[in-house]
Amino acid sequence: MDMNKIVKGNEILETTGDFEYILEDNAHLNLIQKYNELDNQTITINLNGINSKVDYYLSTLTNKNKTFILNINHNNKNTISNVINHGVVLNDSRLEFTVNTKISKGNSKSILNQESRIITMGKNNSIINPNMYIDEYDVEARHAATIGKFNQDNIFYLMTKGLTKEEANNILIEGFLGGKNE
Amino acid sequence: MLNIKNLNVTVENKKILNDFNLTIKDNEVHAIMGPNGIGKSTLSRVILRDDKYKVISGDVLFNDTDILKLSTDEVARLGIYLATQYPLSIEGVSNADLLRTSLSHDNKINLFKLVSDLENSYDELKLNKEYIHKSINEGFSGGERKKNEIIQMMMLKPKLIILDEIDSGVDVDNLKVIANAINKYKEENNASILIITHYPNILKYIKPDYVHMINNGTITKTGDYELAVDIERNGYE
Repeated sequence: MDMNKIVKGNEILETTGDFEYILEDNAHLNLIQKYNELDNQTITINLNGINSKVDYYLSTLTNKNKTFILNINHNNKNTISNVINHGVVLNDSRLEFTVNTKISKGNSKSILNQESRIITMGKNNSIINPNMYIDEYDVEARHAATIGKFNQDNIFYLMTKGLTKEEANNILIEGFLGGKNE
Repeated sequence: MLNIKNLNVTVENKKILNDFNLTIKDNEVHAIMGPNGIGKSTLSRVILRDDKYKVISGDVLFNDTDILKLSTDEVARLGIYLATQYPLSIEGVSNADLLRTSLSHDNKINLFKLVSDLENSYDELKLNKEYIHKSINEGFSGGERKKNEIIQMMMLKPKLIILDEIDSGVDVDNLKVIANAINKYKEENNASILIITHYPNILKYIKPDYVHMINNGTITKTGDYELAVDIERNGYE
């Protein structure tokens, strides 16, 4: 790890490297990484405090191979993690999203959400690893992982409004990568 | 304005339009009526050059331009607008984004005027102005989606408007708001309208000059508004 940071209250942060965050009781971390330009990144978030919560958003646009690893450890009761990863791969490169969320025994009433989506403009070589390690019954867990192309009906719809195919793709990419947490 | 001659179209190897002919002149309102699944919406898709629909033979001319040689966006920029039956929601793309991109083709757009014109359109359609900068149609009701189609139309200033089942999913009060906006636009811009519908209800609010009954991919009968009244009374048989 390059650095670690203790979060006590409400914090909205943008990050630029490998970090470990430690959340204390009732802390709320909003971690936003729009258009992340790193090739590799590992972030670890430890929800150590009761009622601590993390909202995580990452988007990236790439024409080269990239790997993003996110580890979230629910180390106390009533902890919440919401993860959104959005990526667009412009050519045949490989984008990897790995999300490891762990809830150990006894940390009841915790909630985890994972949503990872990759749009491929070329041939697909990308991968999503939506891992959930849960050793407690009384939790809520949701995950979604999709890799695919933009819906052709959306592109047709935008073209009927006068946008070229390239403009339609560009506006969809911008919407997909910049549209959350506004 | 629009001249369709002997048009034959297939989709997934099934023939949908069969020697179809239609001429729409400036400032005219035409309605095409027919039961579901007989090629009404196909016509709008062919005109807007959806490549799922294969033209076997025939011509579609718009002010003497052969639009079968054009792409969807080129047809749109010629001045043909499709208010689609099922307006899609688009994540992260707002009306302001879409219209700014589309209108930037021909001239430099004035962003202040764009937003001010947009706000007036939202007022006219009685739609919440907060939607201007929100994702297109996300969380909208059926009626709001149709209103949004008309707002885009007002901003893009087409010469020919194709309304594909514009009344589906819209209650009567909102349908009147939508129809009033379309009638006003037509009056101010001398636009032509092609209404595609299987219910005659919309024609009470947007009066057609011609009503065409379509069956088996071709027009089987043409009349005036009375034909629509007759269809409402007796069905398509």
